[in-house]
Amino acid sequence: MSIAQSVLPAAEERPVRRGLFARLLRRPSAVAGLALLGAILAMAALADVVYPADPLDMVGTPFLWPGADPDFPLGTDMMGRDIAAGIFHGARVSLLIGGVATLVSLVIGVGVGAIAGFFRGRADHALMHVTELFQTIPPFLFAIVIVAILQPTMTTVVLAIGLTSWPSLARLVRAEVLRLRDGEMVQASIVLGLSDARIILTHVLPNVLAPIVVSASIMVASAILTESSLAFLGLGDPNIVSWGSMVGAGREVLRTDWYVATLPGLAIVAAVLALNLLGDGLNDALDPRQNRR
Amino acid sequence: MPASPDPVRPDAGQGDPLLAVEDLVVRYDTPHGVVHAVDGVSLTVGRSETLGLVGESGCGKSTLGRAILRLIEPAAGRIRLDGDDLSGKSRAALRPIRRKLQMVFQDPFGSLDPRWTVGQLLAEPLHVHGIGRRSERRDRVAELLARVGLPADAASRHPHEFSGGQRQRIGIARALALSPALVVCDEPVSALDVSVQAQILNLLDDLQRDLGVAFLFISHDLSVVEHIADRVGVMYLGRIVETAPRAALWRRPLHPYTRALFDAVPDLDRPAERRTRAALTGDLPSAFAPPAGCRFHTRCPLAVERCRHEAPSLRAVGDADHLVACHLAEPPSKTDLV
Repeated sequence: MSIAQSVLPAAEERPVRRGLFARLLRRPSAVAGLALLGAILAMAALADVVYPADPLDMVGTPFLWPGADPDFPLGTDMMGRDIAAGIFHGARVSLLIGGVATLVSLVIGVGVGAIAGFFRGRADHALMHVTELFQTIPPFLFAIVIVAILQPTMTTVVLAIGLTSWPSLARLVRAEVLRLRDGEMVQASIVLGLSDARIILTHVLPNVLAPIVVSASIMVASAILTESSLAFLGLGDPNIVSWGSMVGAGREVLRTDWYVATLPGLAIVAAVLALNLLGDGLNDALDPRQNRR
Repeated sequence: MPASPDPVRPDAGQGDPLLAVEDLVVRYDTPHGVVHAVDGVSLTVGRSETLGLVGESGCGKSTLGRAILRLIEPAAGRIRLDGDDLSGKSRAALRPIRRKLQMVFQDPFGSLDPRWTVGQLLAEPLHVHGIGRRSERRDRVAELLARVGLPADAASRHPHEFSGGQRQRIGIARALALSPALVVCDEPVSALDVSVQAQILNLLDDLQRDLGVAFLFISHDLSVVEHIADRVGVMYLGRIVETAPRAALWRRPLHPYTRALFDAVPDLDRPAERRTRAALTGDLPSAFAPPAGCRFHTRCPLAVERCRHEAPSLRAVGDADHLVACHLAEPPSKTDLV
């Protein structure tokens, strides 16, 4: 036993979970993404404190340029609505829709991918045919159709984005699960008498978490873009302010008062950029080849 | 000579064998055709016995081991363990039986979830089979670690912190957690250094002596099998061509393939003699289209016309527990000259 002991390396903790945040902070792009995302999250959280009034209310003179009136640092639009208030409240809508829609799509995509990859055979064939069916329809057009048929509300927009963005994730998860399925870890789990559900949930999915996390961050970004595009086309919930609907309203005065459309547009750029930077950083930080020392 | 071989018989007279495999067939459907990886194999393993299974890579020995554990579905044949027929059972119905039948894998790292601690990995089979309370399971983990010669603080570490030999000890400890009657060891030392191999083999020996566990030990390495096996089965292209007690096989291998395997082992004591013997020529024939008749006839130095048409079945030659599937094998007095 003393031999075994002396061969053991000095006690060290596996760095995967605990060290993820620390490793993320070593990457400048990830830090920039986190900072930007943090700022947007703060805007969303503080929207009701800083701008307690309804952002759809007319509060000032129309077409105040940014900086012209200290009460409205980002100016007002053609209806006299405070653009800064709209951007703060819009952050809340964008993040909420992006997050919930991604959650919907994660549940479907991971579920379909894991079942298809683990059970293979008939289940795989059936699920992959459904996935291919979804992939033949352009996701944005599909989302428009869903929202147009149902009423344009927060819920239907979330469902439309969630229901159209899962196929690529399902394929990714399936490929990863297939790779593990034939490996000795899963074989050993079967021999030990673990149930299929337990094997999938405790051994397979945790080991494909890295690519799922990375693609989830990118999916939030594209969900925000899709929501903005829907709102720009007038297919957003008419009772709430969103960045996309602000851009859509501002496009009529783009020649004379371009800031009305540009400022919420910059907010969209910032949010998508932040999430993509974070996704890249996570991709590097979760790469096992870089963790092994 | 009996026409139909009865391989249950050589089970050293210990009553019912622990494991009895009868006419097991495993087929793979591939785009290029059907592969008969295991083609009508029968074997038995007695309680507290080690059956070594040797053969070239691709002969189907690993497939056979996995088919016995139902990790691969056999196309035909029966597998009986301790009276239970495993062949017809659903995966859910197999789960309670798995307590008696465990496996040690070749790659000790690939079979251990890198995200779990060793303690969690060892406790998991106890947990899913509802054995003991949390504290009892912790005691059992400590006992298992001591059993395989690992320090108690190994329980709180992750698999990547251990060397290959230590990881294989973890794999063995996990296979033993449920106190199985039989453990299938699939090339358990092939990935290890020779010095570590001996340690692991000695550990398996000790465990068998102390716990009475039986091993089906699959290996391509004759010297490893010689070290550990009580009886040895030699496989060639999906079939067992010879089975005998270890000492008898080493003293007098009867099948020309077995002899070729022995000749292929480098032996410093008889380098000159080795050169004079006929080494095995050619590659293993394709498993898509195995040769007709005796599957070994394409590489056999002794093959006669009969070998090309008629497949030999296992028959006792000389001793009752020495079975060989060769038309030409004869009792010792005459074969010594071959």
